[in-house]
Amino acid sequence: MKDDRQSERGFRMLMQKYQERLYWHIRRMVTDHEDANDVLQNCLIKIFRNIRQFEGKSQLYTWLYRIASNEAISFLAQKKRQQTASIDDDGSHLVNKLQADIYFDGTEIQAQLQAAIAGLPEKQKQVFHLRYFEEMNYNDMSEMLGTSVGALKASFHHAVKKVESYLSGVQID
Amino acid sequence: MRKQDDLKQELEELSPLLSKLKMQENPFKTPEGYFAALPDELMARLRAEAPVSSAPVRQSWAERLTEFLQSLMQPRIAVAFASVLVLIVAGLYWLRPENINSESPGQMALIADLSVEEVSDYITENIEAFEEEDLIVAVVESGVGVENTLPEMGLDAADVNDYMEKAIQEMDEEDLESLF
Repeated sequence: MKDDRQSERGFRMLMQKYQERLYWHIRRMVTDHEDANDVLQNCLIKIFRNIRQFEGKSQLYTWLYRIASNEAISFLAQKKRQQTASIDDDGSHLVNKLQADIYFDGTEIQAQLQAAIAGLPEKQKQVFHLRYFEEMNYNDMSEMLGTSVGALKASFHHAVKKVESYLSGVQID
Repeated sequence: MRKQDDLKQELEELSPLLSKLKMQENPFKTPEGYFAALPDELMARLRAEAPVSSAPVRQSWAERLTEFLQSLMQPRIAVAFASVLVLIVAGLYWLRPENINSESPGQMALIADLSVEEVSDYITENIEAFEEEDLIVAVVESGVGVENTLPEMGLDAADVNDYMEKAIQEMDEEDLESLF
């Protein structure tokens, strides 16, 4: 009983410190608040149940980030399987969805930016999120993703060019 | 700051459009109070999803007493100590005249003929048949000291008192509550 209370106290402290960072990381990947909430809760439950498996070989946030990323990627893959192929073709579905979302308060170009990012290959998408939104330096990213700094820089470069090209091609009202 | 400056410079070189977009406010919002409520919501979910098998199994009084004594003393001595304590105290309680008087005359005669060992054996074999509360009352009301049983275990009363005092001082309120 005492152990349970200690675990709960420790976990609440961990949540206070990391829940917002993890939420925004997941939210940018899945875009919808309800989806982000589901993924975050599943992710935090996994963390709570497996916290003793954290071996301290990497930074705690790196470990938490991996769990959150895997959870979000699994969610997106499952969601993609349930959707028809035509929906994802041009990104307009996501733009319309975001514009109707009460928890999205952005301009059209911000919605188009999300659609452009959603169309990136998975690895480039991850690198783009970490660098562009989370402003992570390449050394930390290298430790987190197990990829060389040079490869990460190239990946970000390609991602930025693809996003820019997408945005240049869409007509903004 | 250096990290942000590096990113700003990198973005300006790669894509002025994306650099400009980065300056805009985060378009994603959350419901009001979402982050404040999340820990409680999650803890409630964790409690609801806790596996049923993890619920504590209620132990018998004798098991809990043995465990208590095991935590106070070395295991070999504790087991012997707990057994002798329970059997002697309970046995002597059941042999007290006021308890015998509450039984029928036939039972009185039978019990009066039994030795302490026979009563103790009976209690040991049928320990689950006794109400837990009756046994606790028996131990408390008997007022029997354990000193008589100690020489057999190579201990004296002072050893046990010292040991118990030390152990109890080290226990907190929760440990004590968990025993009963």
